[in-house]
Amino acid sequence: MTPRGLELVLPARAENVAVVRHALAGMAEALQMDPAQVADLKTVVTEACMNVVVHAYEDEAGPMEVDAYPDGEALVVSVRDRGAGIRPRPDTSRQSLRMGLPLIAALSTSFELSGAPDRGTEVTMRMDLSPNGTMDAAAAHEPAADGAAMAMPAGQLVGPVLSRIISIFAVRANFSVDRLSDAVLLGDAISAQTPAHFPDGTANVHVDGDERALVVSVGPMVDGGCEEFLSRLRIPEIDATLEGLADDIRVESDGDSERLVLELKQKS
Amino acid sequence: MIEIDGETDLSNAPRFREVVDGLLEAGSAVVVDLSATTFVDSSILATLLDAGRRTQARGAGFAVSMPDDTDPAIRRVIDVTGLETALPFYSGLEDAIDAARPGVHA
Repeated sequence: MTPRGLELVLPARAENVAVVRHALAGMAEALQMDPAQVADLKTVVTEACMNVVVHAYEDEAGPMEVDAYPDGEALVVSVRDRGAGIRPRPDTSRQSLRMGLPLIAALSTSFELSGAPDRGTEVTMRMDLSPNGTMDAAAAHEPAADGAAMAMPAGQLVGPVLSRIISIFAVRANFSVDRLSDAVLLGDAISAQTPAHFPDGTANVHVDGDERALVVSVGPMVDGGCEEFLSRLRIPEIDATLEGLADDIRVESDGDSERLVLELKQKS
Repeated sequence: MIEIDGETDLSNAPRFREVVDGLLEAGSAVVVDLSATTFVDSSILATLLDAGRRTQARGAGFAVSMPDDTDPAIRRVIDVTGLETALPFYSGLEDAIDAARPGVHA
């Protein structure tokens, strides 16, 4: 079978890694990768190969297999061994920075790692042929809103997920056991709504809790959607409305849409 | 002073470490010159970091010289791993030597 690119096999010894590095640098330059990309490629392939040299084989150096081929706008490099597979071990010698995989992660466009005790380890790295752009510090970002925002298709899975999230925040709000079960009932009532009752059939729920209260909000909803949603909420077990459970119920709108906000205070 | 020439990786790391050991045994300060280096891998970086720690633990001076015209590949890897914040880097050999000299603390 004709290889789709370069295939190299050589014994997994440290001095052989330079062979791989130079072969790949030659290929990359022929593919007109720019010097910064070639440098990154040399780094990631060296780190991947050194992992094989150091970890794959106990006694004799087994084979180290390297494949490299162009794939669309990228160069794909795969480094493989037939050895032990990935075994996390603390580094008691303090000789290693454990920087190999983080470097591969930082410099490749994407990478995939797989391994099993009987199959050895394979790391496949994708390097975009076009420049990576600059390594400027991350652009300033907006601070995250407090609490947790979840989105799921309305249906059976919402209940278990939402009740777990509500429980965690209720504990943060120092809820008593009784109040916690009120909060979970509230979550159950929201989760019990069918897909038809949520906009786009998606349960969008935001949960936040501090020492004062637990706040659960549902939305965005279309105009009037909150009233309608509220009117349909029933607690299956006790067939009561939410007015009994929530201390405050309000509709918050921001012009385009509205959210139904339900607040449970720590003390009922 | 240790000058790292050309490409270096795990296969050279033991030798690098030996040279550092020799300087430490002699009670000397350690200056590492990266001006002629064209490739380092994480094991060389680990040896460099370890050399800095051990030298400083003995109270000896330590400095790395990485001039502005150092190979961009080296500057890139040092930058990505944040090593400039972990070790004393200087953009000139003279500055590095002065900083590592006994009695002078950066």
